[in-house]
Amino acid sequence: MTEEALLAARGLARFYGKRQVLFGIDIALARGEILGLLGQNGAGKSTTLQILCGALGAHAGSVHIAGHDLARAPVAAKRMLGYLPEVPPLCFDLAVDDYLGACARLRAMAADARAPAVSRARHLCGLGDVGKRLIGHLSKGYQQRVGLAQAIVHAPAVLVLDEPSAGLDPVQQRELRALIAALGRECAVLLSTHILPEVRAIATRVAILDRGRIVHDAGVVPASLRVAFVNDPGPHALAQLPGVRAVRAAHVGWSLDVDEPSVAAARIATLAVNLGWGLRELEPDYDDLEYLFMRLTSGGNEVRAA
Amino acid sequence: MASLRAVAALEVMRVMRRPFAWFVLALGVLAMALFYLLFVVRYLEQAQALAAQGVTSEVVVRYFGAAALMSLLLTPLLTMHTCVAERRDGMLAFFFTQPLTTSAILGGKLCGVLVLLGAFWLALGLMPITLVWGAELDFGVYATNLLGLALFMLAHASLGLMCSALMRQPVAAGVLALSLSLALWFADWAQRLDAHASLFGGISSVARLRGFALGLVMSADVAYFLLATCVCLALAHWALEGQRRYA
Repeated sequence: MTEEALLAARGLARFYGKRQVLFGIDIALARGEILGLLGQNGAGKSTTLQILCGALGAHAGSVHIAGHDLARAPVAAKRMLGYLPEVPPLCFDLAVDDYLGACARLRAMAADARAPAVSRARHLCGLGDVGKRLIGHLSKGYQQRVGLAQAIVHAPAVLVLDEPSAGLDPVQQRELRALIAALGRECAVLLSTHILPEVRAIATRVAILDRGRIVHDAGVVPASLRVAFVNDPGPHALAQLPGVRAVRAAHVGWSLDVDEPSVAAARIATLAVNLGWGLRELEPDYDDLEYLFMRLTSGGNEVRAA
Repeated sequence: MASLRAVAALEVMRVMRRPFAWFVLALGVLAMALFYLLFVVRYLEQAQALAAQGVTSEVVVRYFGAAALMSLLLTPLLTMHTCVAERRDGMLAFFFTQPLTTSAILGGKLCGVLVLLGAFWLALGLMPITLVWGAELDFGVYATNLLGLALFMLAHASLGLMCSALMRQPVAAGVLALSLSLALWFADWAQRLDAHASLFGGISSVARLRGFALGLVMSADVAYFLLATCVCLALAHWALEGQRRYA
């Protein structure tokens, strides 16, 4: 465990009956990091998250949250934690403010600090005008926001989010990503999702879980651009462009690994016009992460078969 | 203690907005009002024959006996959702991820159930007071009956909570709690049928009310209810801890 790690898990193992579902999971997360946890259904993501949050016990391994051992000092450790499970834990008969206030109280917040904390969480999650409404009367998207608000109401050091954008429309997903990115600057965020562009957009690191094992844990795959031209200059000419580190063939055109996508895109557009290449397509390439995911997980069988 | 109060506050808020529970209790109060009326009418019809026993013995004691059986039947309906349904909708896992001990979670949930049963107890307890306007009520016996009913409700609420923590389906939890409660009731019958079957009387919660009905507060009876409460809560604690660790 590094000294600055807010969340540190070592050697987590878990059995369901005789079947082992987690094999020595190691995760370390520091303040300011957003770790995207990817994996197929049944890979063990939710089980890992539940163990990290204390909802399930591990059969081996340890979890430390902000220096507190989750097994030995669970109350102190959980005070530093905010958790949004896949299905938000909501009391449908309560008003939003009442529920968030109760959550703040459960996290042992002082009485005079609860109202400002509820107000802040509501504001951050875009729940400004629904504080008095019953949670059961809100739309799915708003209920998801309430779920997120309960996770951040006490300003936790570690935020664990399991499929946070499930059920949200594209606009809400975009807002949620912006919010998570903002929260990620103040605390450590562990984000489990199936949506690869979401991880690409906000995560600083990616961990891939396959059949209970971490098979990849590194910084986000280098940013890529996908380009296609009417008059294709070929890979050698593209590799000479400033800021381009590698060129790979894509299913249409080329995939370029670049340092700064926005800067590189502007340069490529300018050069394509000046040199008469006839720029046809220029967009962020999400396939790289998808390719990595497919290669490292059981889904890679399909890639190899193809 | 603060965490127990926090869970209790949330549970009470939720209970106050649960119409099913209040509807069940309202029906219970209505049924008990009818019983009360029957006991009063019977007493008035046979006033001369029953004068020696007195109104407290013939109305109040019988009424509290019926109230105990009514709460025995209704409590499983109120407790069957406490842990089972919460496991299904994720609220139990939510509590596990909060900075709370399992004891605080259980204590808070018990408080939620006791708020409901407390309202029931209060409504039942107020009815015999109306006798004051027409007869001489023995407040000592009345008070011991109230105390006995409160302890009885506490023990059966804990029993229901334990069943809810042990089972996976709300109906199964309700059926188990009702079966155990009925077994405790029938154990009293068994003792009445066979005077030598003192073991049955010893374990029957209904039989333990007999002392309170006579106006006696015996330490053995009080200890029985408190011990039953502690055992049920300990088993519920064990069940929840097991689920947290090994589910």
